[in-house]
Parts: sequence; C-alpha cells; structure tokens
Amino acid sequence: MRFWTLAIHNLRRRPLRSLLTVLGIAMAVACLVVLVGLSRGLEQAWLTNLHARGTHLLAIQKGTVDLLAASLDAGLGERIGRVEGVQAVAGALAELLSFEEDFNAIAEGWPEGCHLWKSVQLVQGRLPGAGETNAVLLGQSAAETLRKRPGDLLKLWGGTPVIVGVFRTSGVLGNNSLILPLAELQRLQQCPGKVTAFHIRVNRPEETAAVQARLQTAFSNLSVMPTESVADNNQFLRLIRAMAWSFSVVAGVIALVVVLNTLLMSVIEQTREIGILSAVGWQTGRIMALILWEGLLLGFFGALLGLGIGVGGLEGLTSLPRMQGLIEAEVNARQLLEVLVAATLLGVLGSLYPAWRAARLDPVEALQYE
Amino acid sequence: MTPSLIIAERVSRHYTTGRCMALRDVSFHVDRNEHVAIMGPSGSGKSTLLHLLCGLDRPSTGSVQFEGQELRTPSEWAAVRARRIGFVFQAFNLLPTLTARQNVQVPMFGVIAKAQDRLRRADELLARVGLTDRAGHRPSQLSGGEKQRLAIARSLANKPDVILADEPTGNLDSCTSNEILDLLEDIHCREGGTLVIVTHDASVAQRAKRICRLKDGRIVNEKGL
Repeated sequence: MRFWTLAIHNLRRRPLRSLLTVLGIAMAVACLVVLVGLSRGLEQAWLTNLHARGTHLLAIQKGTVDLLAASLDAGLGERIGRVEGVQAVAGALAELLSFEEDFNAIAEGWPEGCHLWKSVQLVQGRLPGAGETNAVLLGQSAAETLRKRPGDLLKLWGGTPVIVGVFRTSGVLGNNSLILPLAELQRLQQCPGKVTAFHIRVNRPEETAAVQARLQTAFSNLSVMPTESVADNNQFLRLIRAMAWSFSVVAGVIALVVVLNTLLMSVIEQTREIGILSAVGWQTGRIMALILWEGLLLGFFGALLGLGIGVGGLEGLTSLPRMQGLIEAEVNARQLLEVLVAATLLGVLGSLYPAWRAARLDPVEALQYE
Repeated sequence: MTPSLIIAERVSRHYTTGRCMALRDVSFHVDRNEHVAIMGPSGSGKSTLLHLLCGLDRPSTGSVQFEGQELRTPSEWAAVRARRIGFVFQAFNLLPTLTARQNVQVPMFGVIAKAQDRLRRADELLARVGLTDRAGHRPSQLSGGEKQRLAIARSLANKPDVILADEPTGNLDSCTSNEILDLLEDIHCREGGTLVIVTHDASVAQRAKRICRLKDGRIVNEKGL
C-alpha cells in the first residue's frame, strides 16, 4: 500500500460527495477552458487576419480604445510611406456594420490599388475594378450564411453595392467580413478622408523594429505596433480577455470553497481515524500530508474531467451550425497543462485549512470522538 | 541495574472541562521485559496513566521519561510511538475502509520505506496472529476476536519495545478474551519486550507479574507476584 492510496480510500468513504466535489472543480475548469479558449480564439483570428494581409506594422491613433473609431486623416499615409524602410502603406477604415437586416460583421474599406488587395484569395468572382465604387467583396462564411453570390446586391445602410467577389482567409473574423473600396465605405459612414489604421509593409521584415522606432519618433500622435502585439495593445481584446479571466477566477474561488468544505467535513468525520493515526505514531506533518493528498487528488481528477468537458464544449460550440464560421477557439497543450497544474494546486490550497485542523486535533479527544 | 523503560514521576492530570483530577501525584515505572497490569475501577485514572506513558496525553504536572529522557514535544512522542511503542485499544480502533493487510501497514509509513517491505512485514504479522486467510477483509467483516488480533498485529508493526493494551478484552466474551490474552503473553514470552495491560478485570490482572492498583487517581497498591 502506498501513501496516496490511503487518500483515495478516504475519498471513497463518501463517493457521492467526492464525485460532486470533482464535478464542481470540473465545471470551474471547463468554464475557464471555454472562456479563455474563445477569447484567445478571437485574438488569434484578429492576428491571422492581419498576417494574411502581409501587414508588418499597424499604426493607430495614440490613446484610442476603440480600433473601429475613425479618427486619422487618410493623408497621413503619404508621409508614412516616405519613412525609410517602409515599402507600402494603406490607410484602411474598419467599421462594424449591420446589413441584410440582422447580420453584423466588420466592414473594411481599402484604398484602390493598395497592397492589401493582393492578399485577397478569391473563391468566386473578381476584385473591384479601377474606379468602381459600388462594389463589395464578401467573406466566404458570410456569403454562405447570407446565401449570396457574385452579382447579388447587398443591403447596407445607405446603399446596395453589388457583390463582385467572395473571398477566403485563414481566420474566422476575415471570413465573416466584407471589403469595400475605401471611398465607398467613407461615404456610407459619412467620414470622408478618415481612416482607422494604417497597414504598413516594411522592406525587410527583420528591420521591423527599427522602422517601428522611426515611425514612432516621426509621428507622436500615432501608436505604431508590430502585428504580433496588436492583441496585447487592443483594449477591446484586453477587455474580453480580462472578462474571461475574471469569470474564471470566480469559478476558481467557488471550486476552492467546494474543496475546503468537502475536506473540512471529511476531517470532522474522520476525527477518530486521525486520532488512531496519531496513536500509532504518525507525525502531524504526515497527517497533514494525507489531507493535502486528498485535496490534490480532488483537484487533479476535477481538472482532468474539466479539461475534457471544456475542450469537448469548445468543439461542440464551434461545430454548431449556427456558430460555424462565427467563433473560433484556440487552446493548446501548454495551456491545458497549465490549467491542470493550477487546478491541482487549487485542490491543495483548498485542503490547507482542513489539514491544519486535522493536525491540531488532540489525539486523546480524537480517539473518544463518536 | 538497568534503568526503567518508562518512568512517570509525580504526574497529575487535571481536566478543566470536567473540573476533575484524573490522576493525582502518581509515580510509576515500567521496566524492560516485564508484564505489568494497571488495574482499577472505571474512572480510576488507569487509561489516563496509559495515555501519559505513551505521550498521547501530557501531564498537568510531573514528567514522563522514556529510556531516561524526558520528551516534551508531541513530535518527539510521535516518533517514539511510531518505533518503540505498540498500542492496543479496547474498541480496536481499526481504520474501517482499509483491509486487514492495509491496517497493519499504517504504522509503517515513515518507518519502513519500501512498499513491498511493508507488505511482507504485514503478511508476517497476520500469520503471527493467525489472520492470513482474513488479510483481504475489512474490519466490518471480522469478528471481535479477529479485530483485536488484527489490532495486536498492527501494534507489532515496527517491532516495538513495549505494548500498551488498554482494556484489550473489554469488548470480548470470556473465551475470546483468553485467546487474546494468550496471544499477548505468547508474544511477550517469545519475542521479549514489555507488556502493560490496563484492566478492571482481576482475572486479567492476575496474569501479570506486577499489578498496580489505582483508585480515584492515586496508586493505592502495587505488588509484584
């Protein structure tokens, strides 16, 4: 018999209670996996979208919280393009639009002939022609949901442009977006001459940091960042991430209380047994270790079950017909391992007080406990 | 002259909750390899004395020495109980969720490092008390006599110098009581060591070489046979 098998024996004394505790931890872990997985999925989709367009640096209004708020003068792009190391720059307008009555998606306006158009992978139709304003490209997922194809009209507030092409990107966000000529989107949004961000391509990717520094010095009103750090600097994504973690912390605290309650009851019920262990020469440290093992096992098995439920839940959510193409989940083995370790430690943390109580029991009184 | 194994020197035990004096200025010693009985009516303080002799309880005044050393902390006493003292209780005090074989192994944690050595030792002890065929049974599946034999096997786990038995036959019929006493005496005679039995039963006490009688927390009579 090994030491930890004693802990398992103790947990099996009240199988239903132990199972419910494991389930409580599992739900907290599943909640964490789903929320963090979805928020990271959104971040990833954002980054994938930027990478797919060959953008190395993104310049936005300094201090802005909402990336979709148009506030930059489009004419600034010409000055940015003159900075050493910059290969191409495109001032783009991004807006969250409601169209076809109840469909919401990000609409992007790109200047005619800019480098961003080269990144578009058409699956149907064509790109807008030179000088063509009343044209729109629709992401593949949006096209499938709306059952639209090239030649159809798209009902937007303020106009009905013709869908000239359907495109595909590697991120869920892009596949649900639409792209219009910049001037058309500026007209629809009534913000002529304004853009929300500048997409910058550098001559040599290895010199991205140096170009960023030059741009930052030259344009004090801009915040210039590599695409990799856009998620970290995006208040919207940070807010979503913070909310996911906040909910997860609350779930974790609940799991902690569940473990504490279970083990405290267990210690009270096992008072006599703890007295026996003391009588046969167990040191208080060993008695504490036994209770801590019980917490560790509850945390570990709860985490394992929770990871299964969480990953399965994410798979289920993203494969639902109504959700397909709308949300994307991002979980990796390292994150899952971190959650497993954290939840196991949570179990140990929850067992600290019960273990301390057990160690403080008077052996003679414990032996007389009925 | 060999010093006594355990010496209780002018020990008193006062319980604040019941406002009672369980022991009053008692001096008592246990020599090596002797068989001694502590006898007295219910409430005379005999179990309290036994608890003080193994450090489960601490005296309000006075001191208890093991091999001439006064042990002060619960941790020091736990170490002595683990390796030097075996305890047999009236109510058996076995762990209900563990099998007989597992119960015997419980005191070995921290003393015998390898799991297979603990298992081997447990099987030896179960054979010694005649419970080999009951090794996989839980206490609830054993008779009273078997439970007490299992408790004796557990008390022998780490080859102790002394076995302290608190009313070991108190929950058993007379026939089974004799079997248990025979077993304890057989272990005492064959393997040496010290046996201290607390009892209120004169017939049990008569089997010891020395009897210490307690009444109202005081030693009233002590004689060797």
